[in-house]
Amino acid sequence: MGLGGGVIMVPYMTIFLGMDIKDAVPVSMIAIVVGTLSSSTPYLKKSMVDTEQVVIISLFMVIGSVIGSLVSSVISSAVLQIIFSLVTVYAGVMMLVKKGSEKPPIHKDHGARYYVLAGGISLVVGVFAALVGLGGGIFIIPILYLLFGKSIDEARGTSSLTIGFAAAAAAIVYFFNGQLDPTAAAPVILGVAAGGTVGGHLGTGARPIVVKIIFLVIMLYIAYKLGMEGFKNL
Amino acid sequence: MTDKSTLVKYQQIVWYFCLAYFLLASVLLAMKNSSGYFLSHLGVKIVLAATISQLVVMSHEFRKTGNRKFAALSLILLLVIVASSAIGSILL
Repeated sequence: MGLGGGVIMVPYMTIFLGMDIKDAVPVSMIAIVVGTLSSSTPYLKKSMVDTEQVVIISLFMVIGSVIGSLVSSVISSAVLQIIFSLVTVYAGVMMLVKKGSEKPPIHKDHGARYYVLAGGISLVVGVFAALVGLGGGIFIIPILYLLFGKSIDEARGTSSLTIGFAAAAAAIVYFFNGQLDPTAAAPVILGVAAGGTVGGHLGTGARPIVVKIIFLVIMLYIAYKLGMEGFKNL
Repeated sequence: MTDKSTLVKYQQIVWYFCLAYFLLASVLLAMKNSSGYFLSHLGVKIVLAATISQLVVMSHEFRKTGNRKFAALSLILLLVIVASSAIGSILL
C-alpha cells in the first residue's frame, strides 16, 4: 500500500506480543526502513516512483518531524487528533470519488511555485505526523493523488520510498538513545523484509479501484483510532 | 531520474543481505546464543548505514542523468537526516 506498516505493526506488537508501546514504536521504525527497501523495489522497476518528489518530500518531512517533535510538548495533540480524524475521512472519500481526468492543483509546469508548495506541504505533513504520532504515508498518498495529480500507483510507489528516509531519521534517534531493542527488532525485520517484497509485487499489479477501497478502509480505521484517542485526551 | 538500475540493484543487494543476516540473527536469538544479540545490534547499525548510503546511490543516479540539482539535494537530505538525528539525540 506504500504506507510503511507502522499502523499494523505497533498494535500487533503491543496487543499480541505484549510489548510496551514505547518499545514497539522504535522497533516498528527500523522495520519500516527495511520494509521500504524491499517494497519500493518493484515500484522502482515499473517506474512508479517519482524520485525527484521523493527527495523534496523527504527533505522537508524530516525537517518538519523534528519541528513537530520539538513543539509536541507545548501543543495539545487531542484537538489535532480529532481534526486529523475528520481530514482523514474526507481525504479517503475524495480519493474514491476523484476522477482521473481532473487537472491537479499543483503541477511541475508551475515551476518554482511547484517546488515551494511541495516543500511547504511536506514540511506541514512532517510537523503534523510527528504531533499525532503517525508515519507520513497515510498523509503523503492522498496529497500526491489529490493535489499533485499522481496516479494512485505512482502515489503509493513514491510514498513507499519516501517514508523510509523519515523513519530512518527517527530510528537513528531511538537507537542512539538506547530505546531500540535490537533483539526484538531482528525477527520483526526478517518478517518485514520478506513480507515487503511480496506486498510490493502484489501492490504493483493490483487494480486501482481495489487499492482505493482498501486504502479507504485503512483510512477510516486510522480516523477512528485518532478520533477516539483525541476525545480520550481532551 | 530516468535510469534507476543502480538504485534497484542496490536495494536488491541490501534486501538479500537483510534477509540472510536477520534470519541468522533470529535463529541465534531463538537458541539463546550470545552472538544473536551482537549480530542484531550490528544489523540495526548496518541497516541505518545502508539507508544513508542509498541517498549517495540516488545522488549518483541523478548526476548520471545530468540532474545536478537533485544530485545535490539528495546529499543535502543525507546531511539533514544526520543533523536532525543528532539534534533529536541531544534533546531527548
